[in-house]
Amino acid sequence: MNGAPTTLQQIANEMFLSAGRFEKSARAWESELFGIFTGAERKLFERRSSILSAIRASGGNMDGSTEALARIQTLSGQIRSSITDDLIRPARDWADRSIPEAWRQGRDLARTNLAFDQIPRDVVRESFLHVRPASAGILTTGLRDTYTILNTVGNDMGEFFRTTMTEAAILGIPIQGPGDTLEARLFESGRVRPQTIKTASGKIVRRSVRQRAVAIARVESAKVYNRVHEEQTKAVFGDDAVYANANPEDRRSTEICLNASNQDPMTLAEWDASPYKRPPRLRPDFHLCRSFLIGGTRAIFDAAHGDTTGTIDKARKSAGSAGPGTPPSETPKAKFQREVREMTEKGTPTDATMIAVGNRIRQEMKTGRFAKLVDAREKGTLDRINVLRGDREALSTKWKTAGADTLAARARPDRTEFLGDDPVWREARRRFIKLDTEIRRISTELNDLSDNLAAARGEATLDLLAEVRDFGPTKGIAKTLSKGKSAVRPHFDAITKYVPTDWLAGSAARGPVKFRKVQRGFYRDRDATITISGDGRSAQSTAIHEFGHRTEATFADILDVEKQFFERRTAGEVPRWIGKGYSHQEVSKFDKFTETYMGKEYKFKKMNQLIFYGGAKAGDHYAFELLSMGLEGVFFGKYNLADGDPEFLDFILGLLASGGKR
Amino acid sequence: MFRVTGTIDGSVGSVSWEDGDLVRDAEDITAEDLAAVLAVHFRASRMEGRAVGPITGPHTMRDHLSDPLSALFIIYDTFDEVGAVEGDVPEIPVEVEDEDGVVY
Repeated sequence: MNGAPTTLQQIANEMFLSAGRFEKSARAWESELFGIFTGAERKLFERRSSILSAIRASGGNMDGSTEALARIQTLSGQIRSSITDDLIRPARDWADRSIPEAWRQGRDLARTNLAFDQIPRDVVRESFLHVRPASAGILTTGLRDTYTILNTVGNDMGEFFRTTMTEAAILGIPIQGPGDTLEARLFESGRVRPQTIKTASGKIVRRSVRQRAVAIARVESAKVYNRVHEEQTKAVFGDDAVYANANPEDRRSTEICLNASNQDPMTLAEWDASPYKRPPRLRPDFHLCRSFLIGGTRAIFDAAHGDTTGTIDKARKSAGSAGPGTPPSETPKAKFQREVREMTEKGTPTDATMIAVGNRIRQEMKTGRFAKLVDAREKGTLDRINVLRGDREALSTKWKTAGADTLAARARPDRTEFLGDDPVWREARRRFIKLDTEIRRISTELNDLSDNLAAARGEATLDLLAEVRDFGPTKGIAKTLSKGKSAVRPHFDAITKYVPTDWLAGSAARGPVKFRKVQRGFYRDRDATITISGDGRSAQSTAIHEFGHRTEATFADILDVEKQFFERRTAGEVPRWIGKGYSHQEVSKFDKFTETYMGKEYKFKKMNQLIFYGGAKAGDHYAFELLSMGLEGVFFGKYNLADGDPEFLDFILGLLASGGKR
Repeated sequence: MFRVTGTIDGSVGSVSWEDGDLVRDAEDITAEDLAAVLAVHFRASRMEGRAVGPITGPHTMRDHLSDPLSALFIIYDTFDEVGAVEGDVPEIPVEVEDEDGVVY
């Protein structure tokens, strides 16, 4: 949150945004787990012929003999093993990713909640310095509970198959055909039939495998999210901690959830003892309402004029993906523009001011407003990505086993010759190639979609940046920006929309840039040459990278702040060879950059270079890889900046918003 | 042919590349080598459709292991730490003889 909010209203607004982000994540987790579960169901359905033929007796009916029941027992073990491979293992991998992320987002919710002016900042900071045992315990318990539930689902499915097959055998029911058959008892519309299960509260219900996936994803992540928030805020507010309920108001809201929001603030124990309990509420009356608790002290809530529910109400109505609560006099966009403008107008730019401006922009990228900009472009891409990830994870274990078998067959000491005629090798290799082909096919689609999603995020980022600065060439600039008919020039033309108009104008004022196609792209300032390799998005990414070098050669203020950033981040570090086929002259200060190449620096060495740079002296920097790599990160989704190095991302966003002004 | 030795998950293994193949038919190949080969191959398969290579090219978009430079990049990215790199190690192409003022 930028600037400490002072009112309960503002805290609530920010918390609703945070909860909206969690809701979006939960939807993605749900989609992914759904994909894993339905994939496992599909595989069982595809294997139905071999399952059914394994227990088929003469005449097409089931046979209740001891031998037949023993065959069913063996088959049940194989089905259980298949469920473990196709459902439980990938789902546990899913849990390993989603539950810790829910925990992290719960801590973010607590950070937002703890932004009250009444709480000393150092107390809040201190509370986040270390992960408390209770907080860590929530993660551990959340993971353990999720594993347990996944195992239960697997056991239920295995047991469903075993008992259904056994019962059908004893009753002598036909295996396939019209009417009541074993096949119809096991499958329905290509899926495993809904099963009767006993819930934690002892209720007997029928649930499909898919319904269970959705419930697990929603409930287990929401439990961790809410508990870690409550634990973290309780640790800061101490014994005075009380909590008010907040709940989105839309068509999905239930009356009982809204009633919970009308309660006076209560302690966690009081919430537990109330008819409402704590979110995520799972009782049948209000299944998983999207409420969360806002923590505070009685003094804080009293300071909100004792009208807690009324204060939160405004925020509640604007919750979810619709965007932040809006003061009547200023839209979120106007507020964003005003705040960035105020920040960029303060004195000489430094790397610190760039980071601050960039941070404000990144905060805006966490809002529903930005999410809508992305959503408008991604058009279901994320859902498809999650399904593909599920498919790929499900295949990965088999791939690894088949790969290991293949290599083991090949590497045996007595098999050092060509193995083409060896049946063990041939079979292992055939199985492996089949799986590898499938993994590669899925990966191709997945990587392509990930690029599309990155492009959607890049375009949405451009939309935000364009609210505070002009981007892209004017007609006049476009005429003088570049020259020549090189085949790679269109790649450059395609990326000029991502560049501040000031930067393009500055470049054009120095003369047109010319282009050349090469194997390894580079920029040379003395003859204004940009060279580009490859095709498509890869070539565009290189084009914006090289124009980054052109920009730092054009604007001294950009080179200056890059130098400040670089020297602060790499202080005391000795350059090291980058490795990977780069020449031994190519060295870098690795720092904690997400890509070692980012720590490369270029300094004047010889007099003949200095001719082109009046006032420079040997040893002065003339380029870095910061802006160039950063532009690729922001607009092409490369180098994992948002998660891996948010300060770097802030720096680049700050440069884009305010560096190199003419 | 080139060979890279490094560590993955604390185990030391070697991967040899020759004509797009990662395994030598040798008697001294170890279980750790096989694990490393598998890890490299798995990463390569998952990178299908994505650019692999030096920052500003040349890149491969698919069949990465058939290209020695892309294979080297994938091997580096797979190992937690790289030790020895031996043999005909591929190098990034040099575009200009006089590199004064050239930034990549």
